[in-house]
Amino acid sequence: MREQLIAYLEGTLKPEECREVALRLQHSAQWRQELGQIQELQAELQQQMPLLGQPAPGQLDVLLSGILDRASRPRRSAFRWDGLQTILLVVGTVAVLVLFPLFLHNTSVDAMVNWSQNVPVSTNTMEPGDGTVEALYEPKLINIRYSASPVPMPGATLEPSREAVGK
Amino acid sequence: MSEKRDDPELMEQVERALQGDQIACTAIYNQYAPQVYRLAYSVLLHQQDAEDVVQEVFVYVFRNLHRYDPKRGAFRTWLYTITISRCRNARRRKVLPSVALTEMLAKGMDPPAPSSENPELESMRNDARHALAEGLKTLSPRLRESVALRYGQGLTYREMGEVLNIPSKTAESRVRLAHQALRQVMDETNVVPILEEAFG
Repeated sequence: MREQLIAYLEGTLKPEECREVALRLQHSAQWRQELGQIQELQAELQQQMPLLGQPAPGQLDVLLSGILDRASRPRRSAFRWDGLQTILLVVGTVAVLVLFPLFLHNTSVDAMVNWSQNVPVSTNTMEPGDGTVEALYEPKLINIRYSASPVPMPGATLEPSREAVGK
Repeated sequence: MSEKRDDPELMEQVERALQGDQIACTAIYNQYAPQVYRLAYSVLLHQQDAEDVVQEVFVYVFRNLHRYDPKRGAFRTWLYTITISRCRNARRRKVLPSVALTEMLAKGMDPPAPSSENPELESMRNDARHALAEGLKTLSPRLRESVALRYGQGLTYREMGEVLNIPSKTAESRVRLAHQALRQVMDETNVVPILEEAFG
Protein backbone atom coordinates (compact mmCIF):
# COMPACT_ATOMS: atom_id res chain seq x y z
CA MET A 1 0.00 0.00 0.00
CA ARG A 2 2.73 2.43 1.05
CA GLU A 3 4.76 1.78 -2.06
CA GLN A 4 1.75 2.36 -4.29
CA LEU A 5 0.83 5.52 -2.45
CA ILE A 6 4.34 6.96 -2.75
CA ALA A 7 4.30 6.24 -6.46
CA TYR A 8 0.83 7.79 -6.62
CA LEU A 9 2.09 10.98 -5.01
CA GLU A 10 5.17 11.01 -7.21
CA GLY A 11 2.91 10.67 -10.25
CA THR A 12 4.75 7.65 -11.57
CA LEU A 13 1.86 5.18 -11.68
CA LYS A 14 0.28 4.03 -14.92
CA PRO A 15 -3.16 5.54 -15.55
CA GLU A 16 -5.01 2.33 -14.66
CA GLU A 17 -2.96 1.92 -11.45
CA CYS A 18 -3.61 5.53 -10.61
CA ARG A 19 -7.35 5.02 -11.02
CA GLU A 20 -7.16 1.95 -8.80
CA VAL A 21 -5.37 3.85 -6.02
CA ALA A 22 -7.81 6.75 -6.31
CA LEU A 23 -10.68 4.29 -5.91
CA ARG A 24 -9.10 2.72 -2.86
CA LEU A 25 -8.54 6.15 -1.35
CA GLN A 26 -12.22 6.93 -1.83
CA HIS A 27 -13.34 3.86 0.05
CA SER A 28 -10.64 3.19 2.63
CA ALA A 29 -9.93 5.39 5.64
CA GLN A 30 -6.76 3.39 6.27
CA TRP A 31 -5.42 4.26 2.83
CA ARG A 32 -6.31 7.91 3.34
CA GLN A 33 -4.53 7.97 6.70
CA GLU A 34 -1.45 6.37 5.20
CA LEU A 35 -1.52 8.83 2.31
CA GLY A 36 -1.65 11.71 4.78
CA GLN A 37 1.39 10.41 6.65
CA ILE A 38 3.36 9.92 3.47
CA GLN A 39 2.44 13.41 2.31
CA GLU A 40 3.66 14.79 5.62
CA LEU A 41 7.02 13.12 5.36
CA GLN A 42 7.39 14.03 1.72
CA ALA A 43 6.65 17.66 2.47
CA GLU A 44 9.16 17.63 5.32
CA LEU A 45 11.79 16.08 3.11
CA GLN A 46 11.17 18.62 0.38
CA GLN A 47 11.40 21.41 2.90
CA GLN A 48 14.25 20.06 4.96
CA MET A 49 16.62 18.42 2.54
CA PRO A 50 17.56 21.61 0.69
CA LEU A 51 18.44 23.15 4.07
CA LEU A 52 20.54 20.21 5.17
CA GLY A 53 24.20 21.08 4.76
CA GLN A 54 23.58 24.68 3.87
CA PRO A 55 27.09 26.18 3.90
CA ALA A 56 27.76 29.02 6.32
CA PRO A 57 28.58 32.38 4.72
CA GLY A 58 32.19 32.39 3.60
CA GLN A 59 32.65 28.71 4.40
CA LEU A 60 33.28 27.74 0.79
CA ASP A 61 35.05 30.96 -0.22
CA VAL A 62 38.16 29.94 1.68
CA LEU A 63 38.44 26.80 -0.44
CA LEU A 64 38.48 28.63 -3.76
CA SER A 65 42.09 29.82 -3.85
CA GLY A 66 43.37 26.34 -3.05
CA ILE A 67 41.17 24.85 -5.75
CA LEU A 68 42.32 27.32 -8.41
CA ASP A 69 45.92 26.79 -7.36
CA ARG A 70 45.66 23.01 -7.58
CA ALA A 71 43.74 23.13 -10.84
CA SER A 72 46.35 25.36 -12.50
CA ARG A 73 49.29 23.24 -11.36
CA PRO A 74 50.64 20.82 -13.95
CA ARG A 75 49.41 17.36 -13.34
CA ARG A 76 51.71 14.70 -12.04
CA SER A 77 52.69 12.50 -14.93
CA ALA A 78 50.34 9.62 -14.75
CA PHE A 79 51.50 6.20 -15.85
CA ARG A 80 50.42 5.68 -19.42
CA TRP A 81 50.55 2.62 -21.57
CA ASP A 82 52.39 3.03 -24.80
CA GLY A 83 52.91 0.62 -27.67
CA LEU A 84 56.19 -0.85 -26.43
CA GLN A 85 54.80 -1.59 -22.97
CA THR A 86 51.82 -3.34 -24.48
CA ILE A 87 54.05 -5.47 -26.73
CA LEU A 88 56.31 -6.37 -23.79
CA LEU A 89 53.30 -7.34 -21.71
CA VAL A 90 51.93 -9.58 -24.47
CA VAL A 91 55.33 -11.23 -25.12
CA GLY A 92 55.85 -11.77 -21.40
CA THR A 93 52.43 -13.31 -20.95
CA VAL A 94 52.89 -15.64 -23.94
CA ALA A 95 56.35 -16.64 -22.70
CA VAL A 96 54.99 -17.53 -19.28
CA LEU A 97 52.08 -19.46 -20.76
CA VAL A 98 54.36 -21.49 -23.06
CA LEU A 99 57.40 -22.00 -20.83
CA PHE A 100 55.67 -22.82 -17.58
CA PRO A 101 53.97 -26.01 -18.86
CA LEU A 102 57.30 -27.07 -20.44
CA PHE A 103 59.07 -26.52 -17.14
CA LEU A 104 56.44 -28.56 -15.33
CA HIS A 105 56.77 -31.39 -17.90
CA ASN A 106 60.57 -31.54 -17.58
CA THR A 107 60.39 -31.57 -13.82
CA SER A 108 58.03 -34.51 -13.85
CA VAL A 109 60.26 -36.47 -16.30
CA ASP A 110 63.30 -35.89 -14.04
CA ALA A 111 61.37 -37.13 -11.09
CA MET A 112 60.38 -40.29 -12.95
CA VAL A 113 63.97 -41.06 -13.97
CA ASN A 114 65.57 -40.33 -10.61
CA TRP A 115 63.28 -42.43 -8.54
CA SER A 116 65.35 -45.52 -9.32
CA GLN A 117 68.39 -44.37 -7.33
CA ASN A 118 69.55 -46.65 -4.56
CA VAL A 119 67.09 -46.20 -1.79
CA PRO A 120 67.54 -48.63 1.06
CA VAL A 121 64.36 -49.44 2.77
CA SER A 122 64.67 -51.12 6.14
CA THR A 123 62.60 -51.69 9.14
CA ASN A 124 64.76 -49.93 11.68
CA THR A 125 62.78 -50.91 14.71
CA MET A 126 63.11 -54.63 14.16
CA GLU A 127 66.17 -56.91 14.18
CA PRO A 128 67.08 -59.29 11.36
CA GLY A 129 65.82 -62.71 12.18
CA ASP A 130 62.68 -61.46 13.73
CA GLY A 131 60.87 -62.34 10.58
CA THR A 132 61.62 -59.04 9.04
CA VAL A 133 62.76 -58.44 5.56
CA GLU A 134 65.47 -56.00 4.69
CA ALA A 135 65.16 -54.91 1.18
CA LEU A 136 67.73 -53.13 -0.85
CA TYR A 137 67.00 -51.82 -4.24
CA GLU A 138 69.71 -52.24 -6.75
CA PRO A 139 70.70 -49.09 -8.54
CA LYS A 140 69.37 -49.33 -11.95
CA LEU A 141 69.37 -46.80 -14.65
CA ILE A 142 66.47 -46.71 -16.89
CA ASN A 143 67.36 -45.67 -20.32
CA ILE A 144 64.44 -44.61 -22.28
CA ARG A 145 65.13 -44.30 -25.90
CA TYR A 146 62.64 -42.84 -28.10
CA SER A 147 62.68 -43.64 -31.75
CA ALA A 148 60.30 -42.83 -34.48
CA SER A 149 57.98 -45.67 -35.31
CA PRO A 150 58.21 -46.87 -38.87
CA VAL A 151 55.41 -45.60 -40.91
CA PRO A 152 53.34 -48.60 -41.89
CA MET A 153 53.14 -49.05 -45.59
CA PRO A 154 49.76 -49.53 -47.13
CA GLY A 155 48.75 -53.12 -46.77
CA ALA A 156 51.34 -53.89 -44.09
CA THR A 157 50.25 -55.67 -40.95
CA LEU A 158 50.98 -54.04 -37.68
CA GLU A 159 52.99 -56.74 -35.98
CA PRO A 160 55.32 -56.12 -33.06
CA SER A 161 58.94 -55.70 -34.13
CA ARG A 162 61.55 -58.22 -33.18
CA GLU A 163 63.23 -55.82 -30.83
CA ALA A 164 60.02 -55.22 -29.06
CA VAL A 165 59.29 -58.90 -28.46
CA GLY A 166 62.94 -59.59 -27.49
CA LYS A 167 63.88 -61.71 -30.47
CA MET B 1 15.02 21.41 -13.49
CA SER B 2 16.08 24.97 -12.90
CA GLU B 3 18.97 24.91 -15.35
CA LYS B 4 18.46 24.77 -19.08
CA ARG B 5 20.74 22.48 -20.98
CA ASP B 6 22.14 25.23 -23.14
CA ASP B 7 22.38 28.10 -20.69
CA PRO B 8 24.31 30.61 -22.81
CA GLU B 9 25.76 32.45 -19.82
CA LEU B 10 27.12 29.26 -18.33
CA MET B 11 28.49 28.14 -21.68
CA GLU B 12 30.26 31.45 -22.06
CA GLN B 13 31.79 31.04 -18.61
CA VAL B 14 32.85 27.52 -19.47
CA GLU B 15 34.46 28.76 -22.69
CA ARG B 16 36.33 31.46 -20.80
CA ALA B 17 37.36 29.06 -18.06
CA LEU B 18 38.71 26.74 -20.73
CA GLN B 19 40.97 29.54 -21.85
CA GLY B 20 42.29 29.88 -18.30
CA ASP B 21 40.14 32.79 -17.18
CA GLN B 22 40.12 32.54 -13.38
CA ILE B 23 37.27 35.04 -13.06
CA ALA B 24 35.09 32.66 -15.06
CA CYS B 25 36.25 29.76 -12.87
CA THR B 26 35.33 31.79 -9.80
CA ALA B 27 31.89 32.57 -11.23
CA ILE B 28 31.26 28.88 -11.91
CA TYR B 29 32.48 28.00 -8.44
CA ASN B 30 30.34 30.60 -6.73
CA GLN B 31 27.29 29.43 -8.62
CA TYR B 32 27.69 25.69 -8.09
CA ALA B 33 29.85 25.14 -4.99
CA PRO B 34 26.96 25.52 -2.51
CA GLN B 35 24.93 22.91 -4.39
CA VAL B 36 27.87 20.54 -4.57
CA TYR B 37 28.56 21.04 -0.88
CA ARG B 38 24.95 20.39 0.08
CA LEU B 39 24.85 17.25 -2.00
CA ALA B 40 28.14 16.01 -0.56
CA TYR B 41 27.05 16.86 2.97
CA SER B 42 23.67 15.13 2.51
CA VAL B 43 25.45 11.99 1.37
CA LEU B 44 28.42 11.98 3.76
CA LEU B 45 26.84 13.83 6.70
CA HIS B 46 30.24 15.21 7.64
CA GLN B 47 31.33 18.81 7.17
CA GLN B 48 35.06 18.27 6.63
CA ASP B 49 34.49 15.38 4.26
CA ALA B 50 31.96 17.44 2.31
CA GLU B 51 34.45 20.32 2.01
CA ASP B 52 37.12 17.89 0.81
CA VAL B 53 34.70 16.61 -1.81
CA VAL B 54 33.96 20.17 -2.96
CA GLN B 55 37.67 20.78 -3.45
CA GLU B 56 38.22 17.51 -5.30
CA VAL B 57 35.20 18.07 -7.50
CA PHE B 58 36.17 21.58 -8.60
CA VAL B 59 39.84 20.76 -9.11
CA TYR B 60 38.69 17.94 -11.36
CA VAL B 61 36.11 20.12 -13.09
CA PHE B 62 38.53 22.95 -13.87
CA ARG B 63 41.13 20.49 -15.14
CA ASN B 64 38.65 18.56 -17.23
CA LEU B 65 36.27 21.20 -18.50
CA HIS B 66 37.17 20.17 -22.04
CA ARG B 67 35.50 16.83 -21.34
CA TYR B 68 32.13 18.40 -20.59
CA ASP B 69 29.84 17.93 -23.56
CA PRO B 70 26.66 20.04 -23.34
CA LYS B 71 24.98 17.76 -25.86
CA ARG B 72 25.21 14.85 -23.48
CA GLY B 73 23.60 16.54 -20.52
CA ALA B 74 23.33 19.55 -18.29
CA PHE B 75 26.39 20.96 -16.58
CA ARG B 76 24.75 20.39 -13.22
CA THR B 77 24.19 16.70 -14.01
CA TRP B 78 27.88 16.34 -14.95
CA LEU B 79 28.86 18.11 -11.75
CA TYR B 80 26.64 15.88 -9.62
CA THR B 81 27.96 12.75 -11.30
CA ILE B 82 31.48 13.78 -10.30
CA THR B 83 30.28 14.70 -6.81
CA ILE B 84 28.62 11.35 -6.22
CA SER B 85 31.73 9.59 -7.47
CA ARG B 86 33.95 11.58 -5.11
CA CYS B 87 31.57 10.96 -2.23
CA ARG B 88 31.83 7.23 -2.87
CA ASN B 89 35.61 7.50 -2.88
CA ALA B 90 35.50 9.44 0.37
CA ARG B 91 33.26 6.81 1.89
CA ARG B 92 35.64 4.08 0.82
CA ARG B 93 38.58 5.93 2.32
CA LYS B 94 36.83 6.53 5.57
CA VAL B 95 34.05 4.28 6.68
CA LEU B 96 31.09 6.49 7.47
CA PRO B 97 30.11 6.10 11.10
CA SER B 98 26.56 5.00 10.62
CA VAL B 99 23.96 4.21 13.21
CA ALA B 100 22.38 0.81 12.89
CA LEU B 101 18.65 0.98 12.54
CA THR B 102 18.03 -1.34 15.44
CA GLU B 103 20.45 0.61 17.62
CA MET B 104 18.69 3.83 16.77
CA LEU B 105 15.27 2.37 17.40
CA ALA B 106 16.42 0.98 20.73
CA LYS B 107 18.02 4.25 21.76
CA GLY B 108 15.31 6.53 20.42
CA MET B 109 15.72 10.09 19.31
CA ASP B 110 15.68 12.99 21.68
CA PRO B 111 12.06 13.85 22.43
CA PRO B 112 10.79 17.30 21.57
CA ALA B 113 11.68 19.86 24.20
CA PRO B 114 8.88 20.56 26.68
CA SER B 115 6.87 23.62 25.79
CA SER B 116 7.59 25.10 29.24
CA GLU B 117 11.23 25.52 28.18
CA ASN B 118 10.09 27.54 25.19
CA PRO B 119 13.20 26.93 23.06
CA GLU B 120 14.23 29.21 20.25
CA LEU B 121 12.73 28.37 16.90
CA GLU B 122 16.15 28.22 15.31
CA SER B 123 17.31 25.78 17.91
CA MET B 124 14.33 23.57 17.16
CA ARG B 125 15.02 23.75 13.50
CA ASN B 126 18.58 22.68 14.15
CA ASP B 127 17.27 19.80 16.19
CA ALA B 128 14.94 18.87 13.38
CA ARG B 129 17.77 18.98 10.88
CA HIS B 130 19.88 16.89 13.20
CA ALA B 131 17.04 14.43 13.55
CA LEU B 132 16.70 14.22 9.80
CA ALA B 133 20.44 13.70 9.44
CA GLU B 134 20.23 10.92 12.01
CA GLY B 135 17.39 9.39 10.03
CA LEU B 136 19.48 9.63 6.89
CA LYS B 137 22.35 7.86 8.61
CA THR B 138 20.22 4.77 8.94
CA LEU B 139 19.80 4.59 5.18
CA SER B 140 22.21 2.71 3.01
CA PRO B 141 24.60 4.96 1.02
CA ARG B 142 22.70 4.28 -2.21
CA LEU B 143 19.37 5.26 -0.70
CA ARG B 144 20.92 8.33 0.91
CA GLU B 145 22.29 9.43 -2.45
CA SER B 146 18.82 9.03 -3.92
CA VAL B 147 17.15 11.10 -1.22
CA ALA B 148 19.83 13.80 -1.49
CA LEU B 149 19.40 14.06 -5.25
CA ARG B 150 15.61 13.83 -5.26
CA TYR B 151 14.69 16.01 -2.30
CA GLY B 152 17.90 17.94 -1.71
CA GLN B 153 18.61 18.87 -5.30
CA GLY B 154 15.16 18.42 -6.81
CA LEU B 155 16.30 16.18 -9.64
CA THR B 156 13.82 14.24 -11.72
CA TYR B 157 14.13 10.46 -11.86
CA ARG B 158 15.56 10.73 -15.34
CA GLU B 159 18.25 13.13 -14.13
CA MET B 160 18.93 10.92 -11.15
CA GLY B 161 19.36 8.02 -13.54
CA GLU B 162 21.94 10.04 -15.48
CA VAL B 163 23.84 11.04 -12.37
CA LEU B 164 23.81 7.60 -10.77
CA ASN B 165 24.13 5.75 -14.06
CA ILE B 166 21.05 3.67 -13.39
CA PRO B 167 17.67 3.36 -15.13
CA SER B 168 15.17 5.98 -14.02
CA LYS B 169 12.89 3.20 -12.75
CA THR B 170 15.67 2.08 -10.42
CA ALA B 171 16.11 5.65 -9.22
CA GLU B 172 12.38 5.81 -8.52
CA SER B 173 12.49 2.53 -6.68
CA ARG B 174 15.40 3.71 -4.51
CA VAL B 175 13.54 6.85 -3.55
CA ARG B 176 10.52 4.78 -2.59
CA LEU B 177 12.65 2.45 -0.49
CA ALA B 178 14.35 5.41 1.18
CA HIS B 179 10.99 6.99 1.84
CA GLN B 180 9.67 3.84 3.45
CA ALA B 181 12.79 3.38 5.57
CA LEU B 182 12.73 6.99 6.73
CA ARG B 183 9.05 6.79 7.50
CA GLN B 184 9.62 3.73 9.62
CA VAL B 185 12.53 5.27 11.50
CA MET B 186 10.80 8.57 12.02
CA ASP B 187 7.58 6.91 13.16
CA GLU B 188 9.50 4.93 15.73
CA THR B 189 11.60 7.81 16.95
CA ASN B 190 9.08 10.65 16.98
CA VAL B 191 11.02 12.66 14.44
CA VAL B 192 7.96 13.76 12.50
CA PRO B 193 6.47 15.56 15.50
CA ILE B 194 9.81 17.35 15.94
CA LEU B 195 9.78 18.39 12.32
CA GLU B 196 6.16 19.44 12.50
CA GLU B 197 6.77 21.52 15.58
CA ALA B 198 9.84 23.16 14.12
CA PHE B 199 8.50 23.88 10.69
CA GLY B 200 4.78 23.47 10.96
